Amino acid sequence: MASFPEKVTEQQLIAETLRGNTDSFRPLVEKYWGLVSSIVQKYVKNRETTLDLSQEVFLAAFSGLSQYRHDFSFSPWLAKIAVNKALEYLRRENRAPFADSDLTCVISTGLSPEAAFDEKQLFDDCLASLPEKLQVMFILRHGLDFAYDEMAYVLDVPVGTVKSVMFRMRNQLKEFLEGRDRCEETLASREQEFDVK
Amino acid sequence: MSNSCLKSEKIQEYLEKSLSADEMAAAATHLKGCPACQNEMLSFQKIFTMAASTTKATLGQSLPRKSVESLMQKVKQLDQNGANLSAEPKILAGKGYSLADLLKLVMIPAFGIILLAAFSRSVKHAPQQPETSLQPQFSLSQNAVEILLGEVKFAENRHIRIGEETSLPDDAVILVQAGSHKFKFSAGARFTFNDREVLLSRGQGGFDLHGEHEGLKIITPAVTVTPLGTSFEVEVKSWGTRLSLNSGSIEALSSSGINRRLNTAGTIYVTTAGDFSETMPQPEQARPAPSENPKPIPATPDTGNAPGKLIDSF
Repeated sequence: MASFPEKVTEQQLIAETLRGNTDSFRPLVEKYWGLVSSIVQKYVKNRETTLDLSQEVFLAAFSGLSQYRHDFSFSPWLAKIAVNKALEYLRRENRAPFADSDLTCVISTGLSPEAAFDEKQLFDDCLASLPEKLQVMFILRHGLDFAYDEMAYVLDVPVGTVKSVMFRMRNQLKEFLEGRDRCEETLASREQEFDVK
Repeated sequence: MSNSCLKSEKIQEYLEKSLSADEMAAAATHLKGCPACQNEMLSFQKIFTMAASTTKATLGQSLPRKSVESLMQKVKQLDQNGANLSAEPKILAGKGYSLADLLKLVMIPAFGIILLAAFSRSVKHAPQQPETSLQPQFSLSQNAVEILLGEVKFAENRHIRIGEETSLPDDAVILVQAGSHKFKFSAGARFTFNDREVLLSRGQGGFDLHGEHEGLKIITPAVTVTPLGTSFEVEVKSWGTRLSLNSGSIEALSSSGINRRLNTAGTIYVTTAGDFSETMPQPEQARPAPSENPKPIPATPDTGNAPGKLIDSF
C-alpha cells in the first residue's frame, strides 16, 4: 500500500492545486487511487466501471476542492465522494445496495467452515460475502485506520451505529471461525479413535 | 466465562485502545487473571490481524501510468474551462480588444435588460393568482421509506402510517422521504407520524427540510422543535434531548415552557425537566457523547458529485 503523505505535505499539494498548479493534484491521485478504487469496487464489482467511476471521483474532488476544509485529513473527504459516486451509479442502474447486516444468514448460504483448508482464505471469503457497506467499513477501519467518527462522516450514519455494527460483525466472524476450529478438533479426535481401533 | 468477564465489545475496544486510561488499566488487570478472556482477546486479535491484512491488500492497487496521464488531461481541461472565464478582465482593461469584443460588451447586457423588462411587464399584467395556490399543503401522510441498514418490517410496504408507532432495531437506519423533505431515523428510534408532527420518544432523527413545511413540529418528551427552514438532528436520551442545528433555524419549546430559538449551527441539550444547557447533562458521562466535542463537520461542495449534506447517502 502506498504510504500516505504527512498532513503538512498533503495540505501543501492541495493549496498549490488551488493556486492553479494542477500538476500538484497528480501526487494526490497516485497516493489515493487505492483508497478510491477499493471503495468503488465494493459497490460496483465490474473492473472497467470501477476504473471509470474512480476517475470521476477524482474529477469531482478536483472540482470541489475549494470547498474542502483544511483542518482535518483529506482521505475521509475523498472517501465520502467515492461512496456517493458508487451509490449514484447503483441508483442509475436501479441496483439497491444490500442492506442486511447479519453475517449469519449471509455466510450460511454458501460458506462451509469444514470445507476450507485455509483459515485466512475462509476469512477472506466471509469478508467478500458481506454487503458492500460492511466491506467498506472494514476497509475504512482496518485498512485505513479511520476513526469511528470519520467512518460515520464517510458513510453518513451515527457513530454509535458504526461501532455497534463493527463490533457485531467481528464477533460473528470470530464465532464462525471458532466453529471451524471446533469442527477440525472433532474430526482430528475421531481420526485418532479410528487409528487406535 | 463468568459474569465478571469482559464483554466482547469491551475486549475489542481494549484492542483498539479506545477505552479511557482507567478502563484500559481495569481491563488489563482482569485479562491477566482470566484465561477465558485472554483466549477471547487472542481470537479477536486474530480477526483484527486478518482484517488488516485483507483490506490493506486491496488498497495497494495503483493506476497505470497511461491512465494517470489521461486523468490529468481531464483535470487540466476542467481547470482551463474555469480559466477561460478569467480572460474577460483583459477586455475590460482595454488591452487588445476587438470590435467583436466591444459588441459583446454592449449587446449582451442590453439583451439582458430587454429580457428583464419584458418579463416584468408580463408579471405585472398577469392575472392575480389567489394566495392559496395549487401547491398541496404540507403533510407527512405521503411518505416513502428506504431501508439503509438492518432489517425492518413495516405493516405497510415501505410506508409510515399516520398515528402508528414505528420502532427500529438498534442497528437499523431508515430514510423517510416526505415530499421534498428527508428524515433519517437510527439508534433504535421509536417515533410516530401525525399529519404534521413527528413524535420521537427514543433514538435519533435527522431532518433535512426543503420547501413548504408549515406547521411541522418534532416532539420529544423534553422539547418541541419548530423548524424554520433548516437541517437539524434530534436525539432522545434518558436524561433529555440533544438538538444539533446544521443550518437554518429552529424554535425549541421545552417541557417546562422555556422557549429558545437557534439561529446558528451548534448543539444544545434539553433535560427531561425542560432546562436548556450548552453541555451534556449527567449522568451519561462514562465517555463524552460525540456531540460534546464535535469534530468540525467538513464543508460540502455544491457540486452534485462531491459530498453534500447527503442525508440519504450510505
